[in-house]
Amino acid sequence: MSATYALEMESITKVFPGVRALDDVTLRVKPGTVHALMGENGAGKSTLMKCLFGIYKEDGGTIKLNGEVCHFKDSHDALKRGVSMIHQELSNVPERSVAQNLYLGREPLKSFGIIDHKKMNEDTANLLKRLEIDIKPERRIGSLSISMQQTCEIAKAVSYNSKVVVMDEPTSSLTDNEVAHLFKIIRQLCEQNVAIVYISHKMEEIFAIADEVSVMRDGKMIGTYLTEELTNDKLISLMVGRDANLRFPAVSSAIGDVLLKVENLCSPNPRSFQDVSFELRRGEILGIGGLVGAQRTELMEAIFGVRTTSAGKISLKGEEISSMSPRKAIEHGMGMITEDRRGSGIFPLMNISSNTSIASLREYLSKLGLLKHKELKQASVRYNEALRTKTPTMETLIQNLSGGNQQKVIISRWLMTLPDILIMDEPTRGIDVGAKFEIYQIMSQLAQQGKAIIMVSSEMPELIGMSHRVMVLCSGRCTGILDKSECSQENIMRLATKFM
Amino acid sequence: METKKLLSDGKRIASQYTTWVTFVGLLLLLSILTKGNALKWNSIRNLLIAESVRSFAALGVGMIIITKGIDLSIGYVVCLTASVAASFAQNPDYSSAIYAGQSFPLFVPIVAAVAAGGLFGLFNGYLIAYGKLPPFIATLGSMSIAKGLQLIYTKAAVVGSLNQNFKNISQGSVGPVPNLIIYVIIAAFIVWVFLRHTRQGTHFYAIGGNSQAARVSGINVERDLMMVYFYAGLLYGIAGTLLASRLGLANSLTANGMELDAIAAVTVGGVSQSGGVGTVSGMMIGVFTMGLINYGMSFLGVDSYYQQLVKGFIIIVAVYFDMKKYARRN
Amino acid sequence: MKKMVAILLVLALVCTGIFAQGSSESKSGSVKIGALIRNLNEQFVKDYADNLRKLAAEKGVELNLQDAQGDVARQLDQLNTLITQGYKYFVIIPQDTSATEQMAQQIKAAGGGASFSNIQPSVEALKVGKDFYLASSPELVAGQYQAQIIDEYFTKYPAKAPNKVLNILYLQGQLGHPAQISREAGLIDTLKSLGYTVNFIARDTADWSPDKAQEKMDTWLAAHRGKFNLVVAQNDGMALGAVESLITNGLVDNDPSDGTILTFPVIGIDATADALNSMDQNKLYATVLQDSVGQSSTAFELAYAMATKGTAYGMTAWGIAPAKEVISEAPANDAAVIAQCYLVPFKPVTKANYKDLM
Repeated sequence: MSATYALEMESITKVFPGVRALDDVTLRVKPGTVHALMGENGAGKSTLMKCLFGIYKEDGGTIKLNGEVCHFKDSHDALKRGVSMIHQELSNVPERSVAQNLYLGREPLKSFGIIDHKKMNEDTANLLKRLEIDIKPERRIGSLSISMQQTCEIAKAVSYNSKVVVMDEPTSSLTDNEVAHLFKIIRQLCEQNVAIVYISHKMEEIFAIADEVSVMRDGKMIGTYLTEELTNDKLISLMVGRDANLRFPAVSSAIGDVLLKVENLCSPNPRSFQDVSFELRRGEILGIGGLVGAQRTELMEAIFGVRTTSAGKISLKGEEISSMSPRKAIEHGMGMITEDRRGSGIFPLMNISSNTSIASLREYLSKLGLLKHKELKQASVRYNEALRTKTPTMETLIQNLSGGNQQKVIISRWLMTLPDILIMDEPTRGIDVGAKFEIYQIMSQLAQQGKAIIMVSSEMPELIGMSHRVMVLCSGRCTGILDKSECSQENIMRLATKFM
Repeated sequence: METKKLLSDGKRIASQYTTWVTFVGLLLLLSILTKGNALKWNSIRNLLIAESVRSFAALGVGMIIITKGIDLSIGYVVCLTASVAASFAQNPDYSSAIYAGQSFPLFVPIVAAVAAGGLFGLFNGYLIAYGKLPPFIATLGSMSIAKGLQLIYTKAAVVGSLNQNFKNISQGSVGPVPNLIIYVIIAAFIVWVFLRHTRQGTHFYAIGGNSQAARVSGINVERDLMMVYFYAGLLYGIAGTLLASRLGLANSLTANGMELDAIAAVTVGGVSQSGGVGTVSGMMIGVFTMGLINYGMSFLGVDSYYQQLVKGFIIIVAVYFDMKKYARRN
Repeated sequence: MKKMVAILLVLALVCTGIFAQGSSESKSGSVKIGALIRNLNEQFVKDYADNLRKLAAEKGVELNLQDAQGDVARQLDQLNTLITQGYKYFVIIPQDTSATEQMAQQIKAAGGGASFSNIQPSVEALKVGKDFYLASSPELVAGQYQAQIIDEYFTKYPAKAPNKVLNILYLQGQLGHPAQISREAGLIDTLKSLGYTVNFIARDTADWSPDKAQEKMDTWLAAHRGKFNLVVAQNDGMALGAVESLITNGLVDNDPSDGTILTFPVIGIDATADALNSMDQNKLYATVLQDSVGQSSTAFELAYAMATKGTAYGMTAWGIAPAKEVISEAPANDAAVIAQCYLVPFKPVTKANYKDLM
């Protein structure tokens, strides 16, 4: 007889010195359903999952798998016993083939410990076929798109006969098409009676895929609801504990003169952006839309001087800038919040204060050329307070903050350079709803102060909700610039797939 | 979340002082084992003198490691700069002097050695910053070049018979305080001011912590990287001068293996191999901790074979904790 | 946390004070001798140190032996440490000749004396005072003995060196090492004075190491096969590396009548156990004994006499009287210090006598 629940976490409590990170949390997941786990960053979702996978030892409560009490030593142990996790970040070996990645650490062997590549590839091919994934097992996994790589990870989970699959923000780097494909696979898994725990911040996805939603807040389980019972606003208010009926603040700034003019900008790489032209005006928020691979980030990095260009002109306030570099960009009042916060945003082992002031040191030098530490710190405090960065002290290492607060520190960093133009590449990626809204508000205020913002985003609602105009890229070329009135998901999608 | 923050802050603070705690612990241990004999002023003076030259190398490589680099060429560059310094300080009547019959003012050996060190630093820095060579490989190459140049310059002979004025640079003292100790204090202070209070010093931490983010923040990563090797080269030049002056000679064996001593010392002192972390006080404590271990074991008459063993373990333990501390975050 | 550190520091200082007060410097009764040894990784040095330990145990001497591991700076630090610990009399294998004067001056300032072995001290070091002695074998002599062995061989087989032309593959020790310089000079000068034309087909350092010597030889044999008639190494380790290389490269005539089954004679220095074994198998042709027991015993007796009687000047140590006539190698080339030089003889080791040492 099969149990009613595939996974039961009963009254889990986890105490860290000083704080109850999990307080009597109960989560029950039925087989063959998608169970969304929602909550702001810091609500305790990841702590709960870490308890499940044995990374933390819970202080109280029990975990049952198919009705049996169990405790996993580590995630590998969990995997072997049918509980797997698809991470936000991919954890494959890019230089190896799809099959090799799927069977990493448990390769089928012939005698003498020789790997049976043939069997491995055949098994992989069968598996992929069953999941309707069209990839050759011999493909080098690093050569696949991010979404395909992610699908491979799901295939890996399936290959372990997983009964419970936890997905942590699986769509954070996927485009809408890819998300649709992922959902198809998720539904297939459900038909095979697999239980899915789906962690995401994206409301649209939850309503599209989840059967049930559990909401956590401040280490407590607020409740489990059938998706039909919920509305967008209700879910948000459950998560943040307050009404959040306004998703996007009004952006009512006056559009001024041209600050940035890009003309026929080309990348030396023929497969990257080519012949892109646009203008950015004071007080304007220009959205940049497109699918993954549309070369949006590459274009932004070129404008900021991180990448080289082969042709075209960039003019700032009417002055043409030759051979752009980040240094010149900053001197001319530009700032850039990069897409990859961990890779090119934060200095993980530096504190908040240093992370904030790093781009503005030249303005805080004494006559002897020494840094004015006191003033630097005061300024850092000022900017972070204005953005309401939540941190114990300014000396806290930035890596100990949540994603949203890290993002605020990075925005503070750029505001401290007193920029006129701010490029924000995926500014709300991996950030919880509350912080997202705050970042929207910041953007709106900045625009009102007469700053110009370029916002690259993969989230349609965000693009449409925040931008005055949206420029859409497809395969490195600008396929159109939409005014606010023309902005709709359909129009953007049509332009984004023009050359597909 | 709050707890995690508290926890990690607590750990960070504790780990910040592990180097101090280790040092003081060793000091106590040694004073007990030798019934206080090892810690008399004379002994401490010996220890400080013994570690003084290494301090310069450690300050140099410490800065480099902060930028997530490494320098394997220290030993032979110091050997080369020591030989250059010595060659301009030989007694003119010494028949096998490199510049026999010539005598130079005292500043010549110093300037020549510091210039030689600086040039090597620029060479390393250029290869690493602009040539994009991995620091390990670039400095491995320049290590061999430095060794070759040293052998060619000295014709593999000992550069000895140095004049007393030159020897007094290291061997003299101000009252009871040996000159060498004063130099170390000055150098450490300057490096401290530089790392803590200048823009470029701050940039070194940023580059080591996340070079991509540093570039986006408008830091001229290439120039700063080249400069850190240059500054380290200058320090190696000073180290070479002081070493030649202290030993009264330089030969092809001078300072051999100093790179490992210096790297081990700063690692023990909490300069992380993952980059972006490290303080001058840590570097100095690291140097003197290693010194104390050397000195203590030699004082207690521990067999040199075991000394090597103990040192090896200490380095491994230090790096182990370092990696645990930083590499596995997130 | 900062407070804790401060407290610990204070505690440490207090303890130091207490312990320092309570301790007394001199231990009455036992004789204390310090030994500063340049590098225990070398066979000769190790044998030397072992014999010192043996002698110290026999005489009940408190011996503190320090290994400089090849580093001059470390040796100076070790000297400082021992002086602080109250050691006055020393047996020293210096790391470098040029540092010996400084060492002697420090020892003199502490009111002590020292005997130097293996690596020659400078004349100035011996001039620091009458309590500084040389108890060593002049390196030149080792080279000279090698030359004599070579001469004997080619006198017996003149066809192997037509017109007294020697085409040598020469393996040097660490460049700049005094032994490397003197052994080479002794060899070349003596061969020339015996009427040979000396050509070095190849000459390079193998850093005293057998495996480096073997690699070097492999390269040379590929490049210079047939162009040489003799292999000389500055120590036995390298000579044995060369022997291995000759064998693997097939330069073997399997005719032991000339004393070696190799096509060319290989000659080393040191007479290590391995070398003697190799001679026994008719591989290595000959070597020169650097007498570790002789040197260490002489040096130890001098230091012991200073420690017990106050001076050792003029005494006979280990059956060796102070030298009377100057020789060409420093420091025994200066009449002013010749009475402080105890020259321990090298011994050529050939087929005739090697069994005595086994």
